[in-house]
Amino acid sequence: MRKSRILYALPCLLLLLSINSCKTDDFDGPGLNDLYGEFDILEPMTLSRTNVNFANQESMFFGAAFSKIIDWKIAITGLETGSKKIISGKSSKIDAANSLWIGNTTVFPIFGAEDCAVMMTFLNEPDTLRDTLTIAAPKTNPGILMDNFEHGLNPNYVNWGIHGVNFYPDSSDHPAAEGDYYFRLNGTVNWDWLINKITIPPSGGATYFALPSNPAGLYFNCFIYGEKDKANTLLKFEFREDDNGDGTYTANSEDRYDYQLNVDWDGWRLLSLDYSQLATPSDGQFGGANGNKFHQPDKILMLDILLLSDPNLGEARSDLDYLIWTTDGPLNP
Amino acid sequence: MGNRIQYCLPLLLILWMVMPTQTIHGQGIADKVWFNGLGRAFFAQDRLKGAILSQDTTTNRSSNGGHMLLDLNVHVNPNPKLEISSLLRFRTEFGGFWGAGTTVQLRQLYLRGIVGKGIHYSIGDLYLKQSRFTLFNNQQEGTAHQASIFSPYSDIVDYENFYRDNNWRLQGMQTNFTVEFTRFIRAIDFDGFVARNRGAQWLGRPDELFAGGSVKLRQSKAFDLGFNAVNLFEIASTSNGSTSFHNPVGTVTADYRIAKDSMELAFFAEAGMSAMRLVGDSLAPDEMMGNFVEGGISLNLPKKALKFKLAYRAVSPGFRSAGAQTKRFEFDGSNTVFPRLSDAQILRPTTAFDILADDLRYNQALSQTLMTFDPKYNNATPYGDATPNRAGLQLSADYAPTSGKLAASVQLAYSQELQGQGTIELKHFLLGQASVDVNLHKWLDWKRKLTLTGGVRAEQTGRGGDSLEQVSLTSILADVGMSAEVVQNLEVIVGMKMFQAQGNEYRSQRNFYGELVDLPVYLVDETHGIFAAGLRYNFRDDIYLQLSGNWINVHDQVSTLPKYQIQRFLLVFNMNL
Repeated sequence: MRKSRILYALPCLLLLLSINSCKTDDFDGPGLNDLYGEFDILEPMTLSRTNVNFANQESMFFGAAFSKIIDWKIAITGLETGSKKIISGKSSKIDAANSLWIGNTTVFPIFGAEDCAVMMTFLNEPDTLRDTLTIAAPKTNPGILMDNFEHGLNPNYVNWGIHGVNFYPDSSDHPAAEGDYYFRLNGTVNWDWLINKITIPPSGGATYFALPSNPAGLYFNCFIYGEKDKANTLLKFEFREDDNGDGTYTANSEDRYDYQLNVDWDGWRLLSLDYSQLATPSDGQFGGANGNKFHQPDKILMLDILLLSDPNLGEARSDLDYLIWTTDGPLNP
Repeated sequence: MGNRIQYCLPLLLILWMVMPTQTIHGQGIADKVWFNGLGRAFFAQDRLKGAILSQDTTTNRSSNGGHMLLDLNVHVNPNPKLEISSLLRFRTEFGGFWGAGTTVQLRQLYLRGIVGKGIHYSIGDLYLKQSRFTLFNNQQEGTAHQASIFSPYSDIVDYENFYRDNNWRLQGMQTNFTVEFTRFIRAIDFDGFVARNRGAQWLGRPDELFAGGSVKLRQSKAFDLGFNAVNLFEIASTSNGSTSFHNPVGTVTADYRIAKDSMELAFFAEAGMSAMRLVGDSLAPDEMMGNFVEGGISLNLPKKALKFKLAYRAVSPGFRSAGAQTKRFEFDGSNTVFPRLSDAQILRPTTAFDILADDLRYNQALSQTLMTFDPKYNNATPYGDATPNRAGLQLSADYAPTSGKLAASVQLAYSQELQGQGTIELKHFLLGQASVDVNLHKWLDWKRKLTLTGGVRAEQTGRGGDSLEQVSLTSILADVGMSAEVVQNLEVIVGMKMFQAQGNEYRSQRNFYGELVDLPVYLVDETHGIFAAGLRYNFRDDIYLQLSGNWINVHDQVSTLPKYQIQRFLLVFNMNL
C-alpha cells in the first residue's frame, strides 16, 4: 500500500512542477527584428504643437513609429540664435514619454522667441524627416538672477582696473548665451598671472545676496564662452562670506569659497557650481582659509571674478553671461 | 636552485620508475607516511602548414615546447583516523635558461579523518559533487568516444585542472555521516560542505563562498528520498562595495526500484528550484527564479547485458545553478598553439584540436553567470543536464556482455526551448550519440590485444518562422581508433577525430549580469580533422611512453583565414603511482 502511494505521488510531484516549466509567450533578449529587420517608417514625424509658448509652461512632444527598434535623434535648431536641442533615444515608437520638450537647450546659446527647424535622423539609416516650429516665448528659468548684462555694466561693480584690460558688456563677436549682451573679459599682462578682476556686490545696496541660509541644492550658474586658441585663459570665482556678521569681509578670519577653471573650449558652456561642495583655499596665502568652514550663502558679501593666465602665453579672453543662483539643483535652461 | 631541480628531476623520475613502490613504503615508518603521485615528460613540436603560409609572413612556422614534472603526494597518517596529505610539484620547462621556468609549488593540501565512530571530515582541497542540477562538473565538448591515442591529452586536461569524474575541486571543509535506524527507515546519510570559490579581490569584489548539503533518506532497499541544497554567495562585508551575489538552489530526489532475478526496474525523479539575485546593485535585474523537473525509468537486464533508460527533463529559462552550469572549457580564451595567424594576426578560432589538447583553456572555478559556449560543438546541452530553457526526452541503451568482446551504447535526445530567444519561435534540438568498443583479440582468441573503438555524435538545431527567425545548424563529430599490441607491451595506435559543422544560428551574448543583450549572427561551414598515429610502450599499468604524429587540418569556409594544417610530433611519458 505504501509503495503504491509513492508511485502515485511521484508523477503528481512531477506534474506540479512541470506546470512552472511550460513555455512562455514572450521571448528573451532583444528581438531579432529589432536587430536585423528592415527599417521602415510606419508613421511619419508629427509635432504635438507647432507654436509653443514655453514661458507659459507649455511643452511639446514628437510622434513617429518605425518597423524596428532603432537609435533616433531629433535636432531642433533656433534659426536666429543657432541654439540646439537634441532629443535622442532607442525605440520603435516616439511619443510624449520619450520626446517631451520643455524649451530647454542642449547646445547654447539658449533659445529665444524664434522659428526653429526640426530634423529627425536614424543611426545607420539615410532617412531624414524635417519640420518646423515656432517658439512664441522662450522658457523662463526660476532662480535669483545676479546679472545678464542686458543693461550695461552695473556702476556698483568694482573693476580692479589695469591698463589695456577690458571688462565690458558686448554683443559684437557672437550671440549672447541669453538675451543680446554678454560680459567680455580680455587682456594681456606679461608680468603676473592676474590680469583683472571684478567685484560684484549685492544689488540695491544690500549687505548680503538674497540667498537662503541652507546651501543644500543651491547652485551658482553662469554661461562661459571660450575660444580654443585662448586655451591659456583661466577664470576664478571667489565667494566671500561675512562669518561674524560685521558687514565686512576679513580675509584672515572669514571664509572664501573658490572655484577655478581653464576655459579651453569653443563656444558657450554652462557652469553650475554646487555651493555646498565648494572649498576654501588650501594655502590661505590670500586669506579665506581661516573662517568657520560653514557654507553660509546668506552671508555672501561679494563675488569676485578673476581673469588669469600664464604671463608667458599672451592674451586671455572669455565671455560671461546669465549669472543666476538656483535653489533646487543646477540650472536647466 | 632551479638549475639543480632541472638536473635532478629526470633522475628522480627514473629512480621512481625502477624502484618498486613497496621500497618507498618501507622506510621504517610504514603505515604512517606513504607516497603516491605522478611523473610526466611532455614534448611537442608544432609545424604550421597549408594555404595560410602564403598569407602569413609573421607567424613562426614551427614551435617547440615541453615540460617535465614530478608531483609528489605525501600522505601522513599519525593514527588510523587521520590523514594529512600534501602534493608538491617540481616542474621544469624544456629549454629554460639557467633554471628559468623551473617551479616548485604546493599543488594540493588536505586533512581528513574520522571523529568518533563515523563522522567523516575533510579540510583543505576537496573534490565535491552532488546532483546534476546543484553541483556537477559536466564533460567538455568535442568527445564522441575518443581513441586511446588521444588519451594523453585528455588525461593532462583532467589532471591539470583537477577534473576527477564529475567533481569540482574546491577549497574548504566537508563532513558526512550516516545515522542508521532499526524501524521504518534504514538509514539517513548527511553531507555538508562550505568552500571558498573566490577570495576578495581588489576594487570591490567580495569573498565568494559555496556552501551546501544533502540528506538522503534510505527508506528501504526499494526507495530513497533525497534533498540537496547549495548556495553560491558573496559576503558584502568583505569588500568596500555593498553588492553581493546569491544563487541558492534546492532539489528533491526520489528513487524507487523493483529488483528481480532477471531484471531491475527503477523509477527516478528530481525536481527543484533556484533563485539568483544581486543585492545592493541598482543596475542589476530583478531576482531571477527558475525550476526544473526530471523523471524517468530505467530497465536493467543483466542476463542479456542490456540497459535501457528513458527520461523526461524540463529546465525553465530562469533556472540558474552555478555549481551545475559552470563550463569546463573557456570559449572566451585564446589558443596556446599558434594563437594568431595571417599577416593581420587574426586570433585563430577554437578548433576541436584546441578543445582536445589545450589544457590552459580550461576553467577551475565556479562561474556566477552562464559562460560563453560555441553552438557548433554542443547546442542542445551546453550547460549539461541543467541547461536552462530546455524540455525534452532522452532515450539510451547500453549493451556490454560479460565476455568483454563488445560494448556499445546509443543515445537519442529530442528537446525544445521553453522560451524563444529574440523571437517567440522556439528552437528544437535533436541529438544522437553512439559508441562501440570491439575487443577483436577476444573474438579471434589472440593473446595480444587488438581493439577498435568508434563513436559518433550528431546534433541538429532548427527553428521555423520567417527568414530572420529560421535557424538550421548541423554538426557531426566522429571518433575512430585502433590499438594493436605488436610485441609484448608495445602497441601501435592510430586514431582519428573528424568534426564538421554547417548552418546558421544566433549566438547568445550576455552582459555582466548574465542578461541576454545581443544575438550576433553565427554562420558556420567548417571541417576539422585530427589524424594521429604512433607507438606506445606500457611499462606497467598507468606508466607508458607514447610517441605519435598528429595531423590537424582545419578548413573554415566562413572565416577569412585560409585552410591550414598543424603537424605535431608528440612525446609523452606518463607515470601514475
